[in-house]
Amino acid sequence: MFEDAFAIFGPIIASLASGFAAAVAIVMLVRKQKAQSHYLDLLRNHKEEIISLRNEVMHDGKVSDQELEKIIALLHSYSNEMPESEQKLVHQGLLQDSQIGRELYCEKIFRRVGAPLHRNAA
Amino acid sequence: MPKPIKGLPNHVQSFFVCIIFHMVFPALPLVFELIESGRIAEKALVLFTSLYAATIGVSSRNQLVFGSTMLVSIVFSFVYGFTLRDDPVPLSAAMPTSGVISESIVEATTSVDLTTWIAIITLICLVVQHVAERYNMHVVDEIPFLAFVRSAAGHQNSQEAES
Repeated sequence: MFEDAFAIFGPIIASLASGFAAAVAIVMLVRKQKAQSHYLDLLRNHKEEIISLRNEVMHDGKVSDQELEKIIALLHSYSNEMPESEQKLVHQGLLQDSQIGRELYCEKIFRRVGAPLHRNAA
Repeated sequence: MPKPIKGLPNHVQSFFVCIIFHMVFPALPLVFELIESGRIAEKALVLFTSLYAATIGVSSRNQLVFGSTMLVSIVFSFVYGFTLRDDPVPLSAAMPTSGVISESIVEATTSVDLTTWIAIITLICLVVQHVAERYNMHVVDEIPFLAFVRSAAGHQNSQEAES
């Protein structure tokens, strides 16, 4: 009898659990977007410093690994001004394991702030 | 001189490649079953839901999502076992028909179609969950899906700089 009841109600419970998982993922998506928007607003307040760092580290339109780490350290220090919950969300991109990913993330942040790292940037 | 057509940005490409690899390719056996036999068997759908939930769950970075998808996977594993039974569930043995649960509800819940529909709804929820999570990873955080993606910023690695 227990097996039969489980065969009926088990999938319904599982379906509710998957709906819950989807809701959690959507909430995380919204929270991350908010955190990043907040972070970009914060960085725009430090635009002068970010542009001067970019001019310092870019040579012939290129940035070396060491200088990339310098950029990440600066961006990381600015993120400390945010609430801790938002810091974690920003750090998932900024301090990710992949170096290519960190580079792409910095590139995006600089572009959004108005100091693009692209070679042909104005 | 004509300008070259700009491709999609790397992060958007990563996102779509991820969708193809994680959502389209695993579903191909079901697609071929549908093409070959004109229908998808309940057993195949339930087994697919169970395995898909497990694989989606282990790739998640969120503990709540991980826990929920593991529950989904375990429940559908059991349900897969029940679908292999030759004899259908006897309605009277399943649960009492008096009280809150009416006979019509019992009949509806024990029909084969209901399990199939619940499996489909579960799969849709899992897809929504995974799309949202992967959007966060590949579009917002710019985590590359495939390692050979390089930046357009002209990033120069240390070996090149030293040489």
